[in-house]
Amino acid sequence: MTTERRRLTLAPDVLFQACNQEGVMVDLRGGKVFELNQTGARMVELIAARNSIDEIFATLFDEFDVDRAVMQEETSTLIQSLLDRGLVVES
Amino acid sequence: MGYGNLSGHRAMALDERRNTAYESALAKVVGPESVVLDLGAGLGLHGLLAARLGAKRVYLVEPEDIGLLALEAAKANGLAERIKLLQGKIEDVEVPELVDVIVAVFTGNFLLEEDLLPSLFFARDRFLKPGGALIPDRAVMEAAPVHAPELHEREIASWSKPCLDLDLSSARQYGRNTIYYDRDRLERAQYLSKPADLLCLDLAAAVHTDCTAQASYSVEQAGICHGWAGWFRMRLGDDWLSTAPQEPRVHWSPAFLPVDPPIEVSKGDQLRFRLVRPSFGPWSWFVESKEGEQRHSTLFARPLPPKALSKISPDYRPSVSKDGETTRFVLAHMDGHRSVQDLARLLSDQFPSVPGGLDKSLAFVRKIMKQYG
Repeated sequence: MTTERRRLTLAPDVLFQACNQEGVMVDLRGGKVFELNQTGARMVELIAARNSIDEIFATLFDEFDVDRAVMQEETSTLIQSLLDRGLVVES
Repeated sequence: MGYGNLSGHRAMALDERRNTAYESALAKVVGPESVVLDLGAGLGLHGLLAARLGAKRVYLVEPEDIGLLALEAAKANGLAERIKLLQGKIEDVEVPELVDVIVAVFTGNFLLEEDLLPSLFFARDRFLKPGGALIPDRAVMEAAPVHAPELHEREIASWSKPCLDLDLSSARQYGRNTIYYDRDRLERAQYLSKPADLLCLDLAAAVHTDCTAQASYSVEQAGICHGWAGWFRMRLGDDWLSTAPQEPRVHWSPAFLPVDPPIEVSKGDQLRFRLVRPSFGPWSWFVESKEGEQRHSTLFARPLPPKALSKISPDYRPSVSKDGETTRFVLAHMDGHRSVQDLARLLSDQFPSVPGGLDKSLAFVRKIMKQYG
């Protein structure tokens, strides 16, 4: 298994808020809004707290009743999507 | 703030410090040939002062009926012949001639609140003679980190305390994203550093009020930083009038932009503050300290499900709500022939599911009529 020690952070003009087991990211540069489900919201919370990607995988696996490989794949996909949209950046 | 009622104008009309500063500025530019536009005139105080200083004509532009009071005051002061009320928004009225002076109180709390300055720019570009005078003609937003335990405790930390043994702490995340206008408590706060200018607007030339500003602060006094106090100063003629919490009072209130959790700071620490506020948009503030970065925004000042928040996105595709359909129906039938009662009956027949029957329909039609009729 590959290790992912990279740490990400929210891009400079991006805001994140968790609300009632969902989350939302707002990019102030264009006003675009990105909705997150419960797992996604928790993942972004962990990103904002400067956890490494490996640490995020571990925490999500502990907190949610999911298959590790599926969780890892879905989390990686979401992270890549946030990177592509410029909502998170490597720190 | 509501400007339709007298109570909304009392603090402004009777603000002696502000009005004296405006009168001094007017005295420097108003002469017997001057034509003056008092924009957002309210009770017309500045227009009355301009007329008393000898202006040839004064136009009061005021959308609310309260402007009629200005005409009564003009009569009572023997100035009625030179004062004309143009009732409406500046974008909707036709000022009959170009003017020499525009006087306005379109600076909101912390300058940009209420988004009135774009209307000032409109008036300037459309009705001010070349070389004419604007009062005010410059405005600067300022802010300083503050130790404000009383304000922070009242508005934010108090949510973390049980209320009748109930946990309401989830409200705290909204409290920390709210801007508070509380002059009394901000007067008792202590600056932790010298204030810094955030945004300088040349009102004679500015075309927008988008704000992306940042400032660095060197902490001069150790303590707990609970947030930033924000205010503005503006130039009236040759003099500046400041709305800072540590200056004599004016009707404007300084703003408190909280930082939560508060930051413990020592003398010499560096703080960085960034403010992002697009015209007519939310306020967002970013604070960097040795403890990391904190982000706050009025976007999150109240609980909104992500679906509701997504409406701010420019690529959101809205559809018309039920309320929108009834509004559209009423507007489509407001033709100058049907009475309010006719419209209410039509509405009630068309939308029988609307609760409250004819009375509710009548109230709804009146509401639409007040805004668009």
